Amino acid sequence: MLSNAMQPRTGITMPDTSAYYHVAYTVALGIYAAYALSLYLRRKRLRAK
Amino acid sequence: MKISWLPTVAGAAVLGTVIRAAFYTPLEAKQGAAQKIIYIHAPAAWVAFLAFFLVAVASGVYLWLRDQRLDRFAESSAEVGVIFTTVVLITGPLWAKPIWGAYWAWWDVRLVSTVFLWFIYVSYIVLRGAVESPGLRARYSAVLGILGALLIPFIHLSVYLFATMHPMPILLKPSAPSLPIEMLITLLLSLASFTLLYLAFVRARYSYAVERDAAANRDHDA
Repeated sequence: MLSNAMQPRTGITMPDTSAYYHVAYTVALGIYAAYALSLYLRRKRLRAK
Repeated sequence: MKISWLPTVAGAAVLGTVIRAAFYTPLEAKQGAAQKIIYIHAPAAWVAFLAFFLVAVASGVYLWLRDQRLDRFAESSAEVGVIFTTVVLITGPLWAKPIWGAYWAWWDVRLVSTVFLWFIYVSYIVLRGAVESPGLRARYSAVLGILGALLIPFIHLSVYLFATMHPMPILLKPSAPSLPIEMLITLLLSLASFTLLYLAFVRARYSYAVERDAAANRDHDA
């Protein structure tokens, strides 16, 4: 993953902010997946009536 | 089992975008990996604005033509818009914490007006559930749907009008995009793929609304 990374200039340390990045992607994709599931379940429940 | 092409294409596009953002897009030197949050935050904001703008358009035309399909579309787009705004409001603070040192700034007009937008369309959904008469429900929610969308240009321009910590627009501005080309391509791909996801969600939500209304009519006639 870091092989094509933009290298920081000498004297500048790239901060480790990967935890925030991982949480943001996990939560966002989780919300979309949960919404897709809710659409599926609502439709299924409606058809079962 | 029948496979619908739109959700399949949208899901594959989103997955491809996430893989490109994670493994094939360079890290930004000063922000590190947190900068990649832009590839889910900015498209979510774009889609939310698009969704609420289309709610306003469909609602305006509904008030003119009284076509139930427009009301159903507005209802569907508003719900999907709330989902995308929720993602905006969660991913934004997750970027802000390592970069600004704080999750939130209550004095920042861009942030607070986005929360207001979320509340307006959550109210829109609550209102729809509270009014039983279909005609009244459609009329009241159409008015709220139009008024809520008036916040969109205000939110977009708020970074120019007020002191704010929020970054300036990268794409929707008079000058050229301010991103290296690899990052710009990923951002454009993410805008396209999440727009496809919006279309897939709205189509599914609209189909549900059609079936629900048909079932309600059957119950009413019985």
